[in-house]
This record gives sequence, structure tokens and C-alpha cells, in this order.
Amino acid sequence: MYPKSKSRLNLYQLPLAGLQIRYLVILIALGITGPTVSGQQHTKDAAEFLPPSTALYVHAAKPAALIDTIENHEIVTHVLELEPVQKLMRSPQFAMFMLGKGLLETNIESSVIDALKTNMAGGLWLGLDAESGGAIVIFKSSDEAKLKRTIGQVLKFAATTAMGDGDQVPFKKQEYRDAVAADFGNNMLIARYQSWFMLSNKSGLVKKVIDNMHDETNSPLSDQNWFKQAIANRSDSDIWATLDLDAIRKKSGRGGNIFTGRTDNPGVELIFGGMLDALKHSPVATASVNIQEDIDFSIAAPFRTEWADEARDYFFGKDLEGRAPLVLQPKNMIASLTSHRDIGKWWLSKEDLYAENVIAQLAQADSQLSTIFSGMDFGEDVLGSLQPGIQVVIAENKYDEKYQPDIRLPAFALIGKLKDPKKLTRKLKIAFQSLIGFANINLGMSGQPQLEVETENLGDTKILASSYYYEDGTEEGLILFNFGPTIAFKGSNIVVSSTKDFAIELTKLMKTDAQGQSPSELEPNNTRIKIDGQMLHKILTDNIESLVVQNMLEEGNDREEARSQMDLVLLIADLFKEVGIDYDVTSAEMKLDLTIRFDDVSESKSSSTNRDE
Amino acid sequence: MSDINPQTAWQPFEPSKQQPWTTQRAAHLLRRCGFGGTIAEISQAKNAGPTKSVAQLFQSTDDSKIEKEMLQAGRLVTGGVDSNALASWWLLRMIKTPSPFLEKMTLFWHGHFATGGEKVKDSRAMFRQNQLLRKYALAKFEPFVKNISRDVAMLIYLDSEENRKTRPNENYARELMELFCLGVGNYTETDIKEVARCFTGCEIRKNAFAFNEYQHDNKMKTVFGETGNFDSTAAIEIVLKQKAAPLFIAKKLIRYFVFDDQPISNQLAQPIADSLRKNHFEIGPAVRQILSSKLFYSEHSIGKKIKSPVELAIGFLRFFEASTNINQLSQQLVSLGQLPLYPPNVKGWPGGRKWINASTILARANLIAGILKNPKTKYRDGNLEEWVQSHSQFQSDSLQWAEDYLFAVPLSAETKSAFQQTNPSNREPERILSWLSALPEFQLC
Repeated sequence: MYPKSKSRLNLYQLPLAGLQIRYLVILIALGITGPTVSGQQHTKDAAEFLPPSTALYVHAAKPAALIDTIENHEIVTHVLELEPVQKLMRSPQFAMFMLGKGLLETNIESSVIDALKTNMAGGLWLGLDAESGGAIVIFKSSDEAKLKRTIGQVLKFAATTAMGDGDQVPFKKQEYRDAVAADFGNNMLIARYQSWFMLSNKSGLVKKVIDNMHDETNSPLSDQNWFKQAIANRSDSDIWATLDLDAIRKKSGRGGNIFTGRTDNPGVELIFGGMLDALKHSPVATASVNIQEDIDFSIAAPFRTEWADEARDYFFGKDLEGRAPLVLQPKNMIASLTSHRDIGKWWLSKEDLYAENVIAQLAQADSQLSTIFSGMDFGEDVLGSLQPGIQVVIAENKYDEKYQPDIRLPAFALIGKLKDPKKLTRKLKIAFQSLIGFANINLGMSGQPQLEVETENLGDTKILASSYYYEDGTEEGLILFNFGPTIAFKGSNIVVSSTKDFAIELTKLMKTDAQGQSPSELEPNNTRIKIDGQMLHKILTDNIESLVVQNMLEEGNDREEARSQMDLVLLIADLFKEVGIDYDVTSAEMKLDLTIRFDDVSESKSSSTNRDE
Repeated sequence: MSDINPQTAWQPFEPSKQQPWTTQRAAHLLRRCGFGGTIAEISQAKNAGPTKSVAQLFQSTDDSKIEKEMLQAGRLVTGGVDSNALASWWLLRMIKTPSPFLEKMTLFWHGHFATGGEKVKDSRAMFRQNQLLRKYALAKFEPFVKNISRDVAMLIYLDSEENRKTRPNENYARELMELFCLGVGNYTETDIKEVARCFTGCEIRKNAFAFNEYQHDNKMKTVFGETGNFDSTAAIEIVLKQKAAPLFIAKKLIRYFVFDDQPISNQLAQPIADSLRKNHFEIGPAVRQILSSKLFYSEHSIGKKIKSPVELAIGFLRFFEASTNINQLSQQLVSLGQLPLYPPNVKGWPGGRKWINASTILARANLIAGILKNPKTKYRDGNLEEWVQSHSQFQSDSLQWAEDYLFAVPLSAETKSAFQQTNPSNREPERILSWLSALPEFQLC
């Protein structure tokens, strides 16, 4: 009664998770029989054919070199040697994939990688058309005859496979102005014109490209002013892209999206708020990717001083010149965020930054926080007591030998500078004591251990540290997270930390002059984020049990499966040495750089993932 | 139900020509005393026969590994006030446990001593109560009630964190008699007031039960005709001495294991009540008598209960040896009105026909369809097609297979005809199972 499952190989249903396999197979196949000659004939750029309504243009000028880099990258080699990946490669699904690949290679008489490296020599492009919503991949072969033969082989292979399964030929052949095409339905069409190959989800978009290939009098993307300006400053990168923000804004409308320059999420506003001004005004954005030993990604957009919203003075600083405080680097740092943010000004500007519902919530919070802070106005007196520039630092936590918590949260701290330390230090100390007292009322009501406050002076550093009080032998069942809110003052520096030890460590890294003032040492950027891959790996390892349980509940896995999956996550996390994000803004440009540095994988990793550790 | 003979109803079921021990009866046992067996478990029970199958339920299973894992997982998910993660944890435990009978009993007592996480707001207290319910699930009822009366989650839920002699809290005293031990009509308002005085001094301090002797009413009290300076322990003993107590618990057990929505006469429940009394209120022997009885395997019982949403979901997953995203499953169970640890009120889930209405019938079908469509659902580490391929009967005759293993009652001729009229090209396992799980017959247990 139940139809038998198809045991024949159906190349178009290969179960390779996350990949649009049909697209991939066709791309690979068409790349395979490309020319082996080194002479390149790509005098034309696809921008000369893409329609003027193209909103996103992506170009890899030397795909062969890029494939070569990826293929030989030591991280790729290392990942392929990892046991979970090896296990995947031993799975029936992967065997099916390899069988399909092998059949293609037999037909094409070349290995996929070699063929890919020697093909696409004329370049690889991706375009997104704002008008039709279509996407198109274009690549250029320097051997028209081979491209033609490959398409024929792929189509024949697809037809034979489908008919073998009792299905109809899965495409319809079409011709249009000397171009040949095969429409696979379900928004997939491939076409060839001379040595150009196209793959798209919209036949109309392919027709426009072919029209432009015939009629040089048409106005393609390369004639558009925004594109000319963008490409004039093109960097020499492996992949380069540009986005027509004007077109995207018009297409997306004005209501309720990121192009209105507003977000209703206070956290997003604090970290990325200034970028919304660029999205609101900039005509264009460009991006570049370089893949060598590290991966460098950069995105930039023109910017003007007058585009900065007045309410975002807190974000940019005067004349866009706000710079982040010099980041502190405590031992075993996991991550840091340093930025020029005047959070007092931010709080007081909230009415100009958020929608009514968010303002109402923040106003309510303002009222409650003012109560907690002993009547000090939270915006003006508490946050307003800080100079512009804050940083958040997260580092490995230390644990009490006699009590190891189930969930090992890292230590974290917020660091700033007081405008008037003489006047404000005592007020903030009182506010901190009130805050702990308020917390103790709640903890006491729920039968939790309460916080005890100690005052300590270490040289020129004043510390108010709290710690949980519990009687010996009553730790069992308590989840204290090794948390003891602490506030420390050194010169004009103020540290609000999750533990006393961390606060002391941070204050030791701070400098003060003879008058007890802190020098204003600044980073060159508005915002700088750093994540240490190795420490992140360690904190994940410390919390592996908690992550395993989460996996069991999210994935329905049993414990061993969950542990196995989390081990893979640890292995991947272990590949990264550092991830850095630098954000900067000038009166000419706004720029965000992302750098991913990989760890030296030549060293043995086995010890770090040993379960018995 | 008038044709049930109370004299013979609880006599041991012995297979005969007229009432043979069939796959369907074996599946019935596993559905009622767990969440439904796998095909292998049903076959094993079929081969073992009723006596041995029931006996095996009461034998201790080596679940030390899963117990250790679950204890550790429970500790890790109880970091906050929200008990949602703990509800997911319990569902996971129900799916993975090698002792589903124990979980089914724990679920029974959770409905009996209903306590809601949304009010308790302390997932560790809920976790401790859950462990308590499991510990006493088949044990003696009297120490069970004494412990539950000192349980932090219960006391918070019934507003009994404080019980002073000048102002005795009658809430717990009332529920102790009405919902936990005796039932409506078996006590007086005076008994409530007097039992409340016995409980004075019971408090929560430092997140644990504490007895404040200064707040205990040390004067004489008269409870059910007995007079003395009773405390809460003595009060519970007096309450459980009442004739109504074993009868009340017996009726609840019969309703849970045998049938829904039918009145249970005192005459019918009395033998089970007698068993409870005879065994010092130990639950296990009474449940064993129910599960071994003629009535349990009769037409009065088979297919005469409606699966609760938890039974529906967990039964489906256990049958297919499947796992899925438990957090998503929890959300779906919320919409069906049965997220464990979140009973609607102190009376627990009403059950029976209350599970079915115009909106839940669709939601129940969607629950199974959701599990089937969820990409995270795995069937014995593979996909549904692979599971089906290892069960040839599903492929050759899906309807007969379903009747044998999945359904508590035979499918109607109309249902079979409707299935035959469906396009064979649409008979992929997922579609078949979606279709079958939407049938009214599938809702029965």
C-alpha cells in the first residue's frame, strides 16, 4: 500500500542539509568542463549586462584563486580531519552525494575541484534586482564550446535520472535571442549566451541580461551613477559587493523597518544606533571580503555630519569625533566592548530615539530606578555622572574551592569615568548600598542567601564589594553563579563588576596621575569589540553540562547525542583565535571591519575536548 | 456501567477463549500504565501474558543512569523562577525513562496534589515536589500526605507560608480533606476549622518547611470526634482513618486507570478501598489489583478513556521511539491546556471529555502533525521513512497495523473506506500518520 521509497539515485533530491543541491550541482557541473587554457578573455563585466534596477552587485574577480585558498586553508584541512566531520563523511547521505559527484566527474572527465579552479576564469557575479525581486548568478567561461557541451550533458543527466524514476523531464527548453535556456520550474532557470552562463529564479531577469548582451545602447547597471561612484573606490579584494541603499529604501517603504533610522530595541540602539543614520541617508554601501590566513570583512557607506541625528550625539560625540576608551585587557579575557557612548545623554534623549511604547517602558524603569538609587534621578544623577565612553569586559570567573556552581557564568564589568569624582563617589557608594539593600529584601523574601557588603581601600582604590552569606553546609542546591556585585573607584574611574576579584584586577590595570586623575587614553575607533576564541571555548567547556541539557530539550537528543553535538560546537569554537569588530565614523564615511583570526591548528586539540577533564 | 458486577470486577483477569490475551489487550495495559509501548514492548507483553506483564511493572528497573542524568539536568534547568524549562525537563524524562509506569503515577499524583509553577515561582521548589511525588508514587499514602503537607511548593500554592494560632489558615485544611483525602461531603466546616488549628505554626523559612512552636495552637482540638492537642501529623492520621479516605483514593485510581466520565459507585470502589486499608494505605497493591482485574481488560475499560494531551504527545513519541524539540512541544501543550507543572487550579486537570472540544480537537491533530513535520523529530536516530521501512506491516497494511498497535478501538468501516479512497500516491508515512492521528478513534486510550 505504501509506495516503496525510491532507491535509485535522484541527483536532485540528494539529502545534503542546508544546501540548495540542485543549484549547487548545476553550478559545479557547469564549472567542470571549463577551459584549461590560462588565457582570459573577460573584457566585459557583468555590470554591463545587469539591469539598472540591480540593487546588489557581488563580484569575485578571481574565483579560481579563491577556491585555491579555501581548498588549501589549514583550517579547512583541520575541520575535515575532525571526527564529527569524518563521521558525517561516512554517512549514507554523504555516500549518495559522492556517488552523484562521481557520476558527474565521469561524464565530464575531470575532478570537480580541478575543474572549478580552471573554470570561471572570467569571473563570478551575483546580482539582486530590486524591481523583480530576482537573483541571478553569472559566470563567464573562456571556452564557449565547452560550456555548451557541459550544459547539454547536465540536461541529459537530469532528464535520464528523472525518467529513470518514472518522472517527466524536469525542464523545458527555451530559446531567446540566440541564447538557450532550460526552465526547471519552481523559480529556477539556467541559460547560456555565448560564453556566459546564467542561473536565476526569474526568467524576466535573464531576458533583460541577454537583451543587454545584445544591445549595447541599453542602460545597464554599469551606467548608473551610484554604481560608478561605488566602483570608483573599489578595493582589491577577493570578493567585492555594492548595495544601492536608495533603491532598497524605496522598495521597502518607510514604515517600521531599519531604514527609518529607528529601532525599538534599546540594546540595539546603544550598540548600533549610529549605523541606522547611515541606512537612512547613505545612497550606497560597499563591502569587501578577503580570505587568506584570516578572514577580513569590511562594509562601508558614505556619511555626512548632517546625517547624524541630533539625538545621537550620545553615540557619535561632537562632530563625529567620539572615540572609545582604551580597552582594558584583564587576564583570561573572553570579550570586550569599548565604545564612545554618553549613556547619560542617551537616557535623557530616549524620547527622541524610541517609539511611544518603548518610551513608556523606559519612563517606568526610570521611576523605579530612581527609587532604588535613593531618590537620585537615574538619567541625570546616575548615568549622567559618567563621562562619555564606556566599556564592558567579560573574563573567566574564579570559583570558591568549596563551592562549584552548576552554571559557571563568566565575570563581567562595566567601566566608565566619573565627571566629578570628588562629588559623586560618595553619592554612588550610597546608591550602591541602597541597591544591595533592595536586593536583600527580595532575596530574603524568597528564602535566598543575602548579600553582605564590605568596604575596602587598596591604595588609591576604594571598593564596595558584596558577597552572598550562607552557612557552611547549606550550599547544596543554591545556584549563586559566583556573583557578588561590586563597585570600585580609582581616580575618576568607576568599575561596576560582577565580583570583587574582577573589580580589583581591572582597577590594577588603570592609571591615575599624581592628582588622582585618569588620563584619557582612547582607541582610534568609535566602537571596538573583541572576542577571544580560546577563552570563549574555555567558558563553553566550563558550562558544557548546562549546554548539553539545553541541547537535550531543544533537539530532543539523549545525553550522549547532545554531548556529541556540543563537542562539535567546542571543536568549532576552538578554531577561532580572535574575532574583532571595529566601527568608525568620519564626516566622509562610516565603516565597520570584521576580522576573524584562526587559531594555530597545527597544535594538538585533543586535550581541550577530552570529556574526562 | 450498571452491568458491571462489583463482586467480580476486581477478580484477576484470566485469558479465555472468549477473552483471549491479544496484542490489543497488551497494548491497552501499556497505554494505561505508561504512555503506550513500542511495538517491541507490546509484543513482549503479549508473549509474557497479563500476570507477568503486570508483575514486571512493579519490578524495579535499572534506571540509575537515566536517574542520575535527569537529576543533574533537573538541577541545571532550575536556575530561575520560571518552571517552563522544568516542564520541558519532565516531558523529556517521560520520553526517555525506562520506567514509564512510575512517570505515569507521578503525573497522577501531580494532578492529585496539583501545584502550579506560575504561582509558586520557584522552579527548585517545584523540582523538589516532583521528586517527592515520584518517591511516594506507589508507596504508603500516609507518609506521602505528611510530606506533601510540608512541601514548600504546595504551601506556597495554597497560601500556607504562614499559619498563626491567632489566625489559622483554613485553605490547606480544606484542600487536605476535599481534594487530597476525603472528597466533598465527608467533613464539616468545624472539621476544617479544627484541622486548620492543628496546622498552626507550620511556616516556610529559608525556603524550607519550619515549625514555629510559638505560633502553634496548643489548645485542645476536636477532629472527627477525636479530642486532643493535635498537631498537623496527628490531624493527617485522623483524617486518613476516616472510612471515606480509602474510598476516595480508590475512586480516583479507578478513574485514572479504568474509565472516564462514568459514576463510580461506592460498591464498585469498595474492594480497592479495602485493599488500601488492608495494606496500610500502600498505593502499589491497589494499583496492581486494578491493572490485573477483569474490569480493566473488559469492554468497559478498553478505549473508554480520552488521552490527555501529555499522553497523546508522549505516547506518540514513545511508540515511534522518537524525540523532538521538547521546548516547542511544551508550547503546543500549553495551547491544549496541559503543560505539566501548570495545572489550571488546585483541582488539577478535570480530564475525560473535558479534553475534547471544537478547538482542542483541531489542536490535537496539529500537535501530532507538528511533531511529524518538525525537522528536529528523529525516529530511533533516523527519519520516519527509515523507521517505517523496518516495520514491514506498516508498508503492507497500514490500517491493520494501526489497529493492532496504535488504536485502542477498532476502526469503523467508514474510516477504513475513507482511507481506501485516498489517493495511494498520497500514502507517504507522514501523511498516513497525520490522517490517522486526526481520527476520533486515535483520541481514545
